[in-house]
Amino acid sequence: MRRRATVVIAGAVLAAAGALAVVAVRGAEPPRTLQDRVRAVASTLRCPVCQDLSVADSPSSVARQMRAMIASELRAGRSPDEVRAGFVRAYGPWILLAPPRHGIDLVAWVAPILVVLAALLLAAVAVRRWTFGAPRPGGPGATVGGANEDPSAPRTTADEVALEPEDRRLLEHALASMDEDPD
Amino acid sequence: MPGDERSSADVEGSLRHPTALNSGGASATRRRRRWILVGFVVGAVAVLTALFAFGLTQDPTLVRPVLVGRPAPGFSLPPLASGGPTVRLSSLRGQVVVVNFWASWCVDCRIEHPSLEAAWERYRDRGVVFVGIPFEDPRASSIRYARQMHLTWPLVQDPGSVTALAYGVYGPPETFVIGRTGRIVYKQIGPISYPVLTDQITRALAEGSR
Amino acid sequence: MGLSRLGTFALVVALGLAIYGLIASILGARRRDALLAESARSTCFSLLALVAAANGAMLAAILTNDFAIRYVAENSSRATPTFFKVLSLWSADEGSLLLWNLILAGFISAVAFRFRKRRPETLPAAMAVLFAVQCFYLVLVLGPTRPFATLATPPLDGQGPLPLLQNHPLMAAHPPFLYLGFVGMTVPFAFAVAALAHGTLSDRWIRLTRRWALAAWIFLTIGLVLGALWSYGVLGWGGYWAWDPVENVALLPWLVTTAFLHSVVIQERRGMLKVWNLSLVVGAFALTTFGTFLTRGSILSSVHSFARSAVGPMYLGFLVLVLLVGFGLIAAQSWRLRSEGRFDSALSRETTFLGNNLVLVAVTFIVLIGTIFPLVVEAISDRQVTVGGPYFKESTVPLFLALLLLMGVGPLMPWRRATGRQVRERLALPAAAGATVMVLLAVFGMRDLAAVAALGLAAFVAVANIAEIVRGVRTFARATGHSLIRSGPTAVARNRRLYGGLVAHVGIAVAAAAITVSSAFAHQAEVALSRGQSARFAGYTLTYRGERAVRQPQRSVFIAEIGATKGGRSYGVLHPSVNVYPSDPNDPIGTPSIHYGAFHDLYATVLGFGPGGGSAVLRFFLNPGVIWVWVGGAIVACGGLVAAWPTRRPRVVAPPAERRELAVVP
Repeated sequence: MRRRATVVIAGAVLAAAGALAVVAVRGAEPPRTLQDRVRAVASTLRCPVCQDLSVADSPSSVARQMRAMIASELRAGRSPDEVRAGFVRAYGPWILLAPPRHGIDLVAWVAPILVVLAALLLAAVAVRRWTFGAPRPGGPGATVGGANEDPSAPRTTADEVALEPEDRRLLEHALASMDEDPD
Repeated sequence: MPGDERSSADVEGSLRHPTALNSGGASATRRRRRWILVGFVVGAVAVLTALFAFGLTQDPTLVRPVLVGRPAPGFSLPPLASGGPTVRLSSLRGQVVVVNFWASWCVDCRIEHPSLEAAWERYRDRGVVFVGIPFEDPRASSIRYARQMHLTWPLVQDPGSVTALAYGVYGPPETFVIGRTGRIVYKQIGPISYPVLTDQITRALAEGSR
Repeated sequence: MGLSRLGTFALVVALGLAIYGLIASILGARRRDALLAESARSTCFSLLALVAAANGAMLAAILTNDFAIRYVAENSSRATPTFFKVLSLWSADEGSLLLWNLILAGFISAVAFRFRKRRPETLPAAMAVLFAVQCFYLVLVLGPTRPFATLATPPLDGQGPLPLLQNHPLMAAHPPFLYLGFVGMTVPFAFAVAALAHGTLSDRWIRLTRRWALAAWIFLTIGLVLGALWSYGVLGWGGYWAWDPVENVALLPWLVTTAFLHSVVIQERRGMLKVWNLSLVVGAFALTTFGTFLTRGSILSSVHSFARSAVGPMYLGFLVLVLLVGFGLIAAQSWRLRSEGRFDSALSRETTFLGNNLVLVAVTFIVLIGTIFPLVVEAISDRQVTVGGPYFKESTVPLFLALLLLMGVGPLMPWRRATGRQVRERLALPAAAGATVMVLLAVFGMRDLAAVAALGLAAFVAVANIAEIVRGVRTFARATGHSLIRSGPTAVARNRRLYGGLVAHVGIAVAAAAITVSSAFAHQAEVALSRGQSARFAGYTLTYRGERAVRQPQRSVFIAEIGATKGGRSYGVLHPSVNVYPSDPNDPIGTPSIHYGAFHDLYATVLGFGPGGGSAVLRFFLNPGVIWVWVGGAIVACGGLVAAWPTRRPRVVAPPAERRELAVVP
């Protein structure tokens, strides 16, 4: 039973990793038809008269004209970046739906990475600091004074007979609920 | 509860932390740390307040035109009504050019029309050219509108709105004042008033003569 | 005239009561004067009655076409149908603030009623906070955003609601549910601040308000789903979430509250994360306030912008107050709020909850930073940039994938310590399911990495949580000797939080799969058709039959009739329309026509008509799986309801049922 579960999980993880690798290597499909290519460029541009809709999505007439212009530019052989640059010349960097990745705008792209790193750091610190090596009564002594901050403090007899924190909470909870709604 | 220096069940009310149990030194650092934390909170809030206060001073619907100060995108457009001349921007170099985007379905265009007409009358012989470009408008409707409103300055067609998009137009009415050197000196989004228009034209005329 | 005076009078007296309540609560708390606190508590019922009267007066004014009141003149008209007249109570700034006040007064009364017998010691302080918030919103409604302002010369007819807002009855439900969620977060905030102000170390504030936070979360979930449904069915751009700034700020409190609902369990069980939970609650309420600031303070322009510049500073001031009081108190008291417990192991349900919290808060920060980034750039470098869909998608998708993984693993982990064996056995089936889906998709040639990962993980989550539900019910059935079906409801009833959570996870998995499929496989085409001409799209043959005009009192509707057939079978007629409202003839509103289906929606909009209806420019969308987004959302809300359902009292000893389960499960 145990072995089978392990085998299944290992197989699943490998299969999933393999599938993801295959998909990753295959790469995103480059847009083929002209309409698809127009859509790809248009979905990175902001419709000037709408609220945060892309040129690809917007039903407004300006967006329609922009899509037509993108189509003719692409047909004339311009690259998507050149088409985008043309619009930026006329409307400013505001017309791009995501900030460009240079200059001060790079901060917007770096920020999520920093946030994730901070979260990972927090996770590591929290798990390290708050995890028992072996079960040990936290007890009421831990919240008084600096005992909590000093894990190497000598344990007193009182600590040794104190309740496990989980049991203390349960008792607390039970006692409290005798007097209030057990919500 | 053995070893328990405070009541463990909070049945009735708040728990006062027995400060008497703290050693003096530990509580001093704690106090300092606490004020550092509070200071951090106040500082962060102050920064956010400054940012949002700044945001309140900005008009969120106004997008700053980027083309002001840059060379005006060139165009060479056929006349709106057949039989007229093609208007090429490059051939107008040396004059002040006022490009006005309008449409027959645009209510504000009717509102600004008197200002445009008056300015045109005043400056047409003083080295200023007006060019009217309809935006997203069926040709027949544009011609009808032009006839109704007696638009007397040169009118062209903009097939595919290529010129409008090159000028970063959001929607009519939009007016651009182009100086003698071909640079855009002013962009107005929305109906333009006579004083503003004449002021910008005068400035553009003066600039060229330096 | 009479109604305006009545409404204003009611609001003024209400404000007076709120001020009294605030002062009496504070004094009652400080002096421990029970009588004073009690008087404060009971004023809230009269407060509710008065605010309800004010709302009633406005409703009456709208229904009787009292155009002397400016709000009625600007947002209603004689021609507006009665249903939309009622809706216009909250379709614009001033009216929706009236509704906000009503909901807030309702919540305060609910709190007072709920704690009428057993009064926690922090109740007066919490009431003080609630009254303070009510004061602010009443001042708004009596000051810069007055709904009862009158016009010197009343017009003969009103302008009618904004065209976009009277196009669809969904407008009825989206704001009230959203407001119920936003305002609901005030209650946990009030109790948290009260606990901090008291200097109490107890976790009572969490036990007191956990259900309120859950209720607010359920309302927020429904409100967000309805908003997406409105965007999809009414706005006609083919999608349901545009990463609009106002959409974002509505999402943020939901994310934070979801995190709170999880971390609350850790605090209840282990006495940990106290400062974290307080911060989450304060943060959720602050984000709600920030949301109103953004939406109504004309900081950003948006579909929702009400844009009155006079209120901006007031909202900012209130937001600053909330942040300073909330986080300042936490900072000042944090030294007392040490963790009482520990995690037993790095691999346990507790740590997956911790992971869930970190991911959700990370997403919150990213979306928040992205939303205010244009403002920062403008302040620093005087340029204007846009942060839109592509940015948010790219930066949050990896985190959402991580969240899905946690959602599948977490319920499989036991509390305290996961022994390898337990976890492995429970993990086998879901892992196999997820991997199978991924392999199948890879084999079928999918190229979108994120989509494959998301669909595989969604399968993983769904199977894991359903398996847990079955396992729990089966254990209970075995213990009581009843059949599975019979013991199902009882098992759930004994541990509503657990099963509610599991159901909610299944709902999220369904919605996540639907969102992935609808983004990855959507098709779109824009085509100009003349009458009688057909186009082939996604296997359908779509024929433009012509234009039809319908004149209604409040608008003119131009409908394009499109016949849809597929493989010879008729799929009916699509009738997207363009609505022209006399108040704004330059701005016609398009209404899409949607043929909903279990596998995909066929969605059509008309962008414009040729002269005489001889031709039309049409847009067709094939949106696969969208209906499951709504279904998934409904399942999530149901999960919340299951978790929130009140347990029958009294229960003298309250053993968490999980404890008993731990004993039963090997």
